[in-house]
Amino acid sequence: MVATRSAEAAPLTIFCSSSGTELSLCHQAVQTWTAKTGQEVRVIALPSDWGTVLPLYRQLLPAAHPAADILILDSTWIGTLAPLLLDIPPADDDRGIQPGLFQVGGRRVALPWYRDIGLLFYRRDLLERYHMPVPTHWDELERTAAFIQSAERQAGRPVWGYVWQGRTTESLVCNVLEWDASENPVEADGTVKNSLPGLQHALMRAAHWVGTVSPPGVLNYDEENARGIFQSGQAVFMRNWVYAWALANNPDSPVSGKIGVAPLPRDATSSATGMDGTVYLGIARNTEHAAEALSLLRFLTSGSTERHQALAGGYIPARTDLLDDPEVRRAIPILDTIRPALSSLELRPVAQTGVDYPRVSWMMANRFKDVLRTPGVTQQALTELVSDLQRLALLGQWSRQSPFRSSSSSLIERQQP
Amino acid sequence: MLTVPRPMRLAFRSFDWRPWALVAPAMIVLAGVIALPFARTVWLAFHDDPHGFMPAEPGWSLTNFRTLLQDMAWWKAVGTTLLFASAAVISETCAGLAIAGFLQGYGMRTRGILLAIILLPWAVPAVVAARLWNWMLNDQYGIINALLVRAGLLHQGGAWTTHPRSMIAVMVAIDFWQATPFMALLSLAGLQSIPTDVLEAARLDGASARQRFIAITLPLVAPVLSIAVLFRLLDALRMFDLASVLYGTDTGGMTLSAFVQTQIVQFGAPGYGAAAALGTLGIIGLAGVLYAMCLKVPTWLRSS
Repeated sequence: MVATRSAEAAPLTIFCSSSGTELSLCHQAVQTWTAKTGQEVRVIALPSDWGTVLPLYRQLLPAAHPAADILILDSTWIGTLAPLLLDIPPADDDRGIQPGLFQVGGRRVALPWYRDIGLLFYRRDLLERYHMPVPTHWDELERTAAFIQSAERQAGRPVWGYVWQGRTTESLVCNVLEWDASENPVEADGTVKNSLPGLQHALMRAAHWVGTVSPPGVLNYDEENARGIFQSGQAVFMRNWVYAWALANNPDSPVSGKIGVAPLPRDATSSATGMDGTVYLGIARNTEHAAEALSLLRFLTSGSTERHQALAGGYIPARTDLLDDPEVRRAIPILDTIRPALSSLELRPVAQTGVDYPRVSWMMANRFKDVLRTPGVTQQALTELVSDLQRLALLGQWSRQSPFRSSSSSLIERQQP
Repeated sequence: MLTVPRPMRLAFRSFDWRPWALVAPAMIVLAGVIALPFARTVWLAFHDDPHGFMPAEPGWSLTNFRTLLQDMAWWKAVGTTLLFASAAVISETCAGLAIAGFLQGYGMRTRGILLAIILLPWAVPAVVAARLWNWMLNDQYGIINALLVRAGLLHQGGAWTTHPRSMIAVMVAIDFWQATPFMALLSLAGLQSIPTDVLEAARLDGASARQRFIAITLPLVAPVLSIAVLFRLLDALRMFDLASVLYGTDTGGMTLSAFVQTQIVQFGAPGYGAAAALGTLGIIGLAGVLYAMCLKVPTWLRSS
């Protein structure tokens, strides 16, 4: 560290995403707050590779001298970082936030900043050409994709039916859990399900997609690979996050103006659609200016800041009353179509598994991938996944604590057996 | 044997501190950069510290190693690493020797130019090579699929990096592209150290090219080659770049080093990561010992 910091002189520090719009919005919001309160704030841009941020936080947060006060948080990191985050006291207007404050072991550690959600993108022109509706069930999506794909190929225009994220990462976990939204391997109270028949069915169905309606390389695709194929006009359907809408509609994009977006299909049994990818803000536990940090945090997640973000950058507000704001609806035209998906939350088991979530996600992604590669091993792979998760649950002792219990540090204290 | 104790005691009595003073700076640096981190790794590995946030449970513990032995992902990484290393080293050694033999037939200048061209891939950093090949192997835009489709060998682009077998094969192929020049260079040095008169005498005695290679060239080049193979083997066993860049945290292509990195950096488990690192060290050590024993076999066969 270059400077020795004294508590009075050091300015408040906030970590923001380094992506262009988001960083400038972050600067703007912070400047407004500084003008109001006279407090200096230093904005630090994070590395552009989102995957390196969690290891960075892991190194920075336990340090004796705090390097950051306010942190931008992906929802999947909060469980694992919770022991290092400050408790956020409740406020009167918390009720209007969806999803609510992130709770781990009964502690409120993060506030939603803006929403993100898994969506189905489709080629409106192709669906219109073949007079087909936007699919609302997975089987229907498969049929529509196969039909348009073969018809287009016969006409000499090679397209794929459906592109998604099959690379062994967090995204694969999102995709698979969306295929059967009612079956989460880890339940809300932290118990691991004994069998996963719904996921087994969903995985077998998706394994059949690979090489038929989806390119064989889909098992290597992340969000950007999928967007590359869809945006160059080589796919009828794509699963992706909200950000893809603006980029695919960019004037340079070959499919600009020809696409639509809808909530992801579902199975007959389930109602929730679209994995929640909300981005949160939290405060480092070792901060030296807790009161100021809290005030800035409340300002950044206030209705006015979120409204400005929505108008200027298209970020979906976490405050539900803003979703009805006519100007916000005009700024984010897809809001009306994806509204049902936004209101029915589908969550990954982050809060229940706490510190262990990155490992849980890794185990799930790898087992799911095994099944997608070789459908013959479905039953065995899922049985192994269940027993692996149960063993991990025993070590981490999730099932003994409900996420809504109020003991403060039960997640990290391991009782003697 | 009886004379040994006396000079030893003498040497002890007149302890000469000067050589120690001379090597002390080097020893201190080595202790700082190797011994201390290693001791810390051992300490971490034998303490139960599941997440690295809290002070570890007091007392030494074997929990990490017990978990490691039951971890299927770990054993998969062991298999992947051994398969990758043996396939890569064997293919690179054979090809390197062949290229060296081919180069030896040329004059000094031509050989220099050819060698410089061949050595280019060795100068490419492994991470860059991995990214480069990943693009070339891309199923939609990759040049390799484009060429294969144009040549009529494939109907549509293949996904080369999705199945576990082909994942390891791709790693071997990239490593082969990178490290064969290194083996060729060292093999060439070995070949040039062979006195030409031995080969000439054999030729005059009517030995065929194959006989000369098996009975003269190979035994004489073996000492140099075995050191080069040892280097390559150790290098291949700690392969990290290719696995990490190509496959991330996919256990299908995860090597031991990538496993250790994942545990520490992605999951924040320093104790378990340290145990895995020591396990990796053990596997590399075992492979080294096994290799040394293999080298002894020909001598042992000859003597018995």
